[in-house]
Amino acid sequence: MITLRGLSVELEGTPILPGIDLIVEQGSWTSVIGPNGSGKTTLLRAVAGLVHFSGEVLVAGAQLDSINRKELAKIIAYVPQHPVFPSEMRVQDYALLGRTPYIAYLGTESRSDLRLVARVLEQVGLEPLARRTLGSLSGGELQRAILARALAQEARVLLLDEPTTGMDIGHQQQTLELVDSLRAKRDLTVISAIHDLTMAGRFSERLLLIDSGRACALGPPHTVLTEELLGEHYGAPVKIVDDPAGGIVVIPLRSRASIQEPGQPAFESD
Amino acid sequence: MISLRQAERPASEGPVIAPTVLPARFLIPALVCMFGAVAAAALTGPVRLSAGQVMAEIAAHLPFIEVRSQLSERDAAILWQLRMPRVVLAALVGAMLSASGAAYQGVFNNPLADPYLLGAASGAALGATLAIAGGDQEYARSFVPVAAFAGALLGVGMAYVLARSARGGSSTVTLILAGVAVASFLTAIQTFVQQRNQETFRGVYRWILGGLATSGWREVLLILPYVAASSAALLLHRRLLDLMSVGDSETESLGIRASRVRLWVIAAASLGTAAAVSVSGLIGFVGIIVPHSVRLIAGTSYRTVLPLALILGAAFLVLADVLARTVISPAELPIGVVTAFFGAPFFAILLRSTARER
Repeated sequence: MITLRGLSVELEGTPILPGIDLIVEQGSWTSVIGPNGSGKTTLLRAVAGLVHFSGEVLVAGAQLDSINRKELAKIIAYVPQHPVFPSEMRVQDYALLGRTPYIAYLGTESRSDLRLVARVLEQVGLEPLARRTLGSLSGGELQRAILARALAQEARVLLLDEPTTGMDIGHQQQTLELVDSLRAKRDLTVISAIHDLTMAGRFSERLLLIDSGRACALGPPHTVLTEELLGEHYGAPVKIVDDPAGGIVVIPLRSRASIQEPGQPAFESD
Repeated sequence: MISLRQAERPASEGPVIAPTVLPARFLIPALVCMFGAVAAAALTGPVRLSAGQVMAEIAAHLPFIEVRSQLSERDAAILWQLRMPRVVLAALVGAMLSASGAAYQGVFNNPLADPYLLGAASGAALGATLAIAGGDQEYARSFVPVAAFAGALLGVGMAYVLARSARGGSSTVTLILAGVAVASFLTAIQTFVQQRNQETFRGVYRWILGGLATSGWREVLLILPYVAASSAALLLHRRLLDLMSVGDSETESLGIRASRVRLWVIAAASLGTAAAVSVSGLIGFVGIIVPHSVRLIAGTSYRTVLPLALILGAAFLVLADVLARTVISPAELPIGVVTAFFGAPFFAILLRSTARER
């Protein structure tokens, strides 16, 4: 569905991504992980056609540059890390913006657009809040609002940049479960950047670990979420626990030095 | 809980959402305000005309209504040749400045934007002045609106480029500072050109300073096509102006080039501003007061803001003009003085609330 060949991005003369190769199958979920500033957002923005890049990005077999912006918006829906939420806009008007690629430049939305948005709001559970303004929603509800807008695009590819930032554990889970059920149901291809490594491992079929823009590891979660790789690239000691129920738990450890600092009160009792 | 609760229905069935539209509960009072303002303006002046007689006189001019007018020939001439053209012109100029302000605020994502503060109005005045000073009079007159339009685009363009080049150019206030600097500069050039060509300007083109005082039906006909085209273009962009409120990057990811919307909206708003300035001179703050009052009452969607800004902008300037010609009657205040008197405090309040949000 999406193929990257030697994808490189330079921002103001500084190379951010020096060359990434990746093939993402239709209907799969791939998560990009890596420390802060490693280039996760830039990678997603490049695939969304929002930054200049060199190398090749193929979307459903076609060169990204050869697809016009409007057609691209019908194929790829991009959810940025910090979306702009106009506080006075109503939830339903906001979700309706997702129909933009299907409406003529000066045209107005059709009845089928309005029906589709009603259904999408129902799917993400925002139907009762449809007439509320964005400013009156909680963080988790806002995240569902942007998801509704992305789903209204009826795109086959969903790019999610940190979709669970700032959410409590319950909302994180609900949001990712929702994305996963939609992925299964609509055969969506999902590429996400996720900070929480345990969550990333739980929901994605494959992980791409990047550090300073370089691809360091690519594969199923158990091959990427290893103590050696994470220790090396995050500079943090972690413990990996295999959950018997399936999945991998990544536990951050305190470094030995900071625990045994003389004169420091110990906060943790063993 | 969020889950996929519903089985997929066929696409042709199911409930629909009701997106924001202009509700009658705002539209009707706005129209009442506008016609009320027009009626009040038609009845105000040194010569007293009775309200009933004026209504009958106006009704007599409407199709399908058989009413005999009771106004004397002299009073009818006062109504139709002196007051009505001025009222209609004030309405057109007010509608245009107000809607242009709302549109500039949308594309610059800046609540303080206004044709006057952005340099568009001064640019238009300079363009018009140069056209008049440059050519022989009959030829120049037909060229005035085009030159004013070019000047308005130049003014906005300079303000935008200057603000972008400034350190921290994204700030709301930077664009306005740049606009005020550009406006002062262009006004200085305009005044210089005007003073060097005093003979050309005396008599025929008093409009630069004269406000609406010398207006007639001729001026109304001169700007009507531009006002109509510009208003139509802005209204057609109302959905896209709402889209622009999510920022350039998200607008692009939804398949619309933000720069394209910005270009068309600035062109339309500047054309309208240029037409307004070329008959009324420099009038500030209309584009701030009216759109923001509308937003406070009717919400921020451009689907409601733009049409209401047009209607209430007309009402506002008609009333401002009534004040301008009655406060120190029989003398007249320039109308820009009246709008600034109300607009500047309004602007100060807006500036405070914008600063607090950041």
